[in-house]
Amino acid sequence: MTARVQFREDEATVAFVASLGLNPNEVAREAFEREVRRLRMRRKWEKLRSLDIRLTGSVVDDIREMRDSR
Amino acid sequence: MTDVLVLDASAAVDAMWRERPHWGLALAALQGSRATVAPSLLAHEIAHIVHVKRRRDFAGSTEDRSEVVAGILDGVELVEVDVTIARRVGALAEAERISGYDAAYLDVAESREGSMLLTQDGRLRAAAVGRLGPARCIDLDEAASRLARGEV
Repeated sequence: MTARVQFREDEATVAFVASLGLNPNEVAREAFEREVRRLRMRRKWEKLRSLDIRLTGSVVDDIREMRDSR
Repeated sequence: MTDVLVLDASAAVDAMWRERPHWGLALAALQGSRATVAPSLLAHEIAHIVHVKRRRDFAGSTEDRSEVVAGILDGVELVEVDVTIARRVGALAEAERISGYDAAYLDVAESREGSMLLTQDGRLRAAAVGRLGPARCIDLDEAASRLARGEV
């Protein structure tokens, strides 16, 4: 299921984007997707920081041992 | 500018080390600015580290730890292995003299044009630098430096 997202921009700006050979709707969609990703990741990291995690050191040696011992 | 981040398990977990808060900020910024992918192996490695290997570092119940695993994997596209990928990974492991597990990450990075591999592991990084170039293979310190320079 999808929902429609719309916003208005002044004609000069839309014309400028089009003059570069770009599709203004595609540019808007990509910008929207970038912003959504940024917001999602911000929420993800806020949530992770709220969890009771007390890492006592890097896990790099643990992972190296796992990969070399299997 | 790369638009895909290939995330190694070592970087994914180390980013939560509170004595290195700049690592978490760097990974958050990287994930916020580009798509994140990893071989499905990442999920197994994260689960093993959180639930078994470093269980004491992740307080609370089993459910709490599974929330950590889910949180780390949130927003990561996991690439499932198939026969074609397995053949490629095997050849890569032989050619670079690395484990098949390391090769799985390197293969994802190689198969995504312009991707950047983020790992804390020196051996994987050495192999990746040789194949991808130094700009496309970094650790969390380098990621934090790039963030400070406004390059993320």
